[in-house]
Amino acid sequence: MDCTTWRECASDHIDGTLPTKLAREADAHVLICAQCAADMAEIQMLCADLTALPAPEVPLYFSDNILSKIEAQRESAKEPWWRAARLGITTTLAGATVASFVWMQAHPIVDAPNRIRAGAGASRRIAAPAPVAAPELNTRWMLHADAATPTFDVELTLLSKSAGTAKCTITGDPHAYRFTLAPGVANHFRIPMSLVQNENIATVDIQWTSGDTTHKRIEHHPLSPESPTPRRQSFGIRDLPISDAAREVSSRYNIPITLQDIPETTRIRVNPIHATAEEALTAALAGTGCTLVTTPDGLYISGK
Amino acid sequence: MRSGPPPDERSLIERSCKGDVHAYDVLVRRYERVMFQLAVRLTGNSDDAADIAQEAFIRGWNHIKAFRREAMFSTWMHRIVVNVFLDNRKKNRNKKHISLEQSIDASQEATTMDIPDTAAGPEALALESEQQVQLHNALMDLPEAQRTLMVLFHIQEKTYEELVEITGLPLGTVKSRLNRARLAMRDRLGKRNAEA
Repeated sequence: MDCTTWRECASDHIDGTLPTKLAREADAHVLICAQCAADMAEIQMLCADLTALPAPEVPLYFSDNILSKIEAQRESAKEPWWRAARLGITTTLAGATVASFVWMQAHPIVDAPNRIRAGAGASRRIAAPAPVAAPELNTRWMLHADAATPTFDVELTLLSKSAGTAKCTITGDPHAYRFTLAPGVANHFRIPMSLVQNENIATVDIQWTSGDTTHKRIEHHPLSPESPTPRRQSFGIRDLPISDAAREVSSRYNIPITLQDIPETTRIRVNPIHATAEEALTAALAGTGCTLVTTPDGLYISGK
Repeated sequence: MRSGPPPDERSLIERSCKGDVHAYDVLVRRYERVMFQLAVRLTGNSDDAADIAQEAFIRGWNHIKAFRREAMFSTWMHRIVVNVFLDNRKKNRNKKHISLEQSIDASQEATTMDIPDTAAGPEALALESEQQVQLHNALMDLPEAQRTLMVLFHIQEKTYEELVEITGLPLGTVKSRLNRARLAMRDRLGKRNAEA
């Protein structure tokens, strides 16, 4: 065997996969050829060194990002009509904004009442909330998570001169809870929470009626006194309907969030780098026309 | 004899085929380290490697129904990572242009142009010794097809049979390319050592 032939079968010789006859010839060659013997030793060393190269560290959130991208992909596959309709909706909203500006110039509001309840004196207003015609409903939810059957004690106060009714539904609970509300006083109720125990947050849909006016809003209430582990599926990764984004913020920062008159088509992206829920939502809601107010009972987002 | 994935993995694959993202998440977490390491050694760059490995896992999810049950999931994923790497290289090669507006003074006797090296330095890969840096550079100097085989065989410790499955090349081609790659690396490292 000469040097050229040995180089052609060097790998097989080193790996021991040469047929016996050729292997003997290759062995004999490296015994008499110093250059090929040196090459063989160096290749063996090189192979060992390659195997010993340190394994690089996987970047943080590597698999989280993959899962988020897959979920975003599934989401967009579900809603192709939304993307197609986006331009039309944007154009319509822009037209409506211009029309409402012209209307407001012609019909200025002299004295806009503060729709946030009186107890919200310590709140920081991000943008001035617009007036509403419906009577305000104050809610206070007290969670009894330690009881054998966790319950919510609910206090509903209808700020109106006439009586009304309210209907509450909680995501995961098939029951709808209906209450009759006396005007101007605190009405107390108890709602069992057994059906949503696997969740770390309760999403409550409230509809209330007083006189001829029906109103509704969504409230997110964390179920644990300690901050739960944030659900990692979409936070900060993609645009979400405001209600879903608020639910994730409520869960991550462990703070109740109430939403009223939120446009269903508007989506926001919340950046998880913010230290507080208020900062995160202030940044995310910019440009949506929604207002964010901090109250003693949590955050309040209004679409009007 | 290979009998496909182990039972728990088979169940995860079945669930993934039915659209269970969380089952696929378990598979991703199981193989993220191996696939990321493969991508790093192919690209020589942690950022590109992360993109390639992520794209490979997403392709895996999109084509999980095409996965043959008798194969190993890890071998299948290796194949996808290699394909994504080669596709990206092809795309990037087509994009590499040098602007004609970059002035080259023809009146000067010697014309030189600095083309920046865009690959991340080996320091970014936490290589510990000078020897490892040289090894890494010699690996990166290899043509992509040879580098792929070297990485799969020596770093990922795949067998010839698995190399055939991953690359889709005949055994003879795999062996001859691997042989050429080893000799080329030995020659490069020998030359550098002689220069030093």
